[in-house]
Amino acid sequence: MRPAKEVTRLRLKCYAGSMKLGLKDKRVLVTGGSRGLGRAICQVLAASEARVAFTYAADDQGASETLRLLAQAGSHALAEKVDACDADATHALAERLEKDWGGVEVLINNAGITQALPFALLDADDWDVMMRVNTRGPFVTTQALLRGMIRRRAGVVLNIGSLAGSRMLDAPIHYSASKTALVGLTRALARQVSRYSIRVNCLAPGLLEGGVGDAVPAYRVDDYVSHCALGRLGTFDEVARLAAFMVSERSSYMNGEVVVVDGGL
Amino acid sequence: MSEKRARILVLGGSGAIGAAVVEALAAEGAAVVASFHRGREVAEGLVGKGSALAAVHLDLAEVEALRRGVSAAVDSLGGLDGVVFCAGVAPSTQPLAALPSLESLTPESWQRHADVELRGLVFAMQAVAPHLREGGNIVVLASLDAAKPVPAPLLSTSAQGAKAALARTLAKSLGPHNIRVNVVAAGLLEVGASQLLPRSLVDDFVAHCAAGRLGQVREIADVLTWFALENTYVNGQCVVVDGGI
Repeated sequence: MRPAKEVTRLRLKCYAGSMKLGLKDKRVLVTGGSRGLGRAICQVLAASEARVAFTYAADDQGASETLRLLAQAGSHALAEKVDACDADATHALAERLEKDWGGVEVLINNAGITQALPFALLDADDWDVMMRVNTRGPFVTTQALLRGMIRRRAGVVLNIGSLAGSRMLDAPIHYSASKTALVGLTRALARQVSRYSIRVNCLAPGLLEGGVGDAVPAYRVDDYVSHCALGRLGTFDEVARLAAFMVSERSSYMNGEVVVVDGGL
Repeated sequence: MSEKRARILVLGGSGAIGAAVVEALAAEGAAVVASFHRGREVAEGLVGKGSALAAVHLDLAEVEALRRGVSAAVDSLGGLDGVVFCAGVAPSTQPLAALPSLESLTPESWQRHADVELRGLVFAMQAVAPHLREGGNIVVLASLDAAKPVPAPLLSTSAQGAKAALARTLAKSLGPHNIRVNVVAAGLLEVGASQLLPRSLVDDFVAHCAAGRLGQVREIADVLTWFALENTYVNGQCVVVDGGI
């Protein structure tokens, strides 16, 4: 892996972050915003002057930190302690946002978990928990938010998948299966709701510094970096910037698409 | 905002999409040089309105001239941060349905097409890569048949698919130099091939497109612009922009 110093230097060589995305005042809900990629997505959206609400399941401290970072950027975001798998709570949140905000224009299904377990040690409960968080969550949240989008005949949904759902990797099989399920959800939903001018896409990151990558054994991280053409892990910020583009009007003809962001594995 | 302007070369900057990319890049503050082959008037018009710093004549079939032209373009930009490749066989007035099928294809017609679509691309990549000294983005415009099964002329599909394969390979070999190579595969747009296809095929596309409409040039230009200016970790991908087929 390239030393961190060098990665920083490489990042400075690009012109990223200056493209006008037209997200000002867009009402966006991000699930799982108390840490990692979800927090970075909230930050990039706030920097684009979008109105940001995020959910989190349990981490009050992390949610406060996200709020603090967003406030620093001048954004008064909403943090909602709602488990994305809880249909009643999520529908109640959708109603609140409908009433207080006039509804949500962009939904980013980011909340997800992973678990480093080999297939032989996996039991049915592990499978259920993974599927519950990574597939039931996006289903429940999308269904709750889509009602308003359909009524307004406008909306964008972005599902955060994973390279493990697109390529043959030595990744936990229940995690890979759940992320592949998001690809199916993305495509079928894009087909069904595009008649209401709603777009649905999926962003599939490879290994990133921090986040689920922390659960990956070091030898596999080294293997990833050695096979990645860019020779490094990705960062939350660069994936978050792609997410912001994919929910902006600048990508208005992208629909039902899965964009892999893995540095070239 | 960045302090420095991104320096981008648009190869094939006088076509409908190429010109739109030049304008979109300029609107984001990039310094752009547009190459043209036949569309001198359009390319010079882009210079005239300040979207491009310069327009250079490049015939991708002439490899030596191509190298010189790329060097001249890079000199006028003072370096190079990205390349958008929009060059291709200029849409003729000939209906695409009249292009040869598998049965009627001749070695000569195959060679002519492959020369422009692929030989030009390969040697353009060879010419630009050494100039991306600090890394950067190479974005190649292709069409939907690069990635999905759609009724399309054999010549076109072969070349489009090869672009995606070439990008994957170049992404691997140029990645260690911090150069990202990606393809943007456009669906059927309001201009271009849709004007040359039989009406029934265009209607069929719209009927099967989830968005229920043809794309606009601006919508493709915006994606190419993002990949040229903003992308730092997508590499070797063929990103389809087709409204959902």
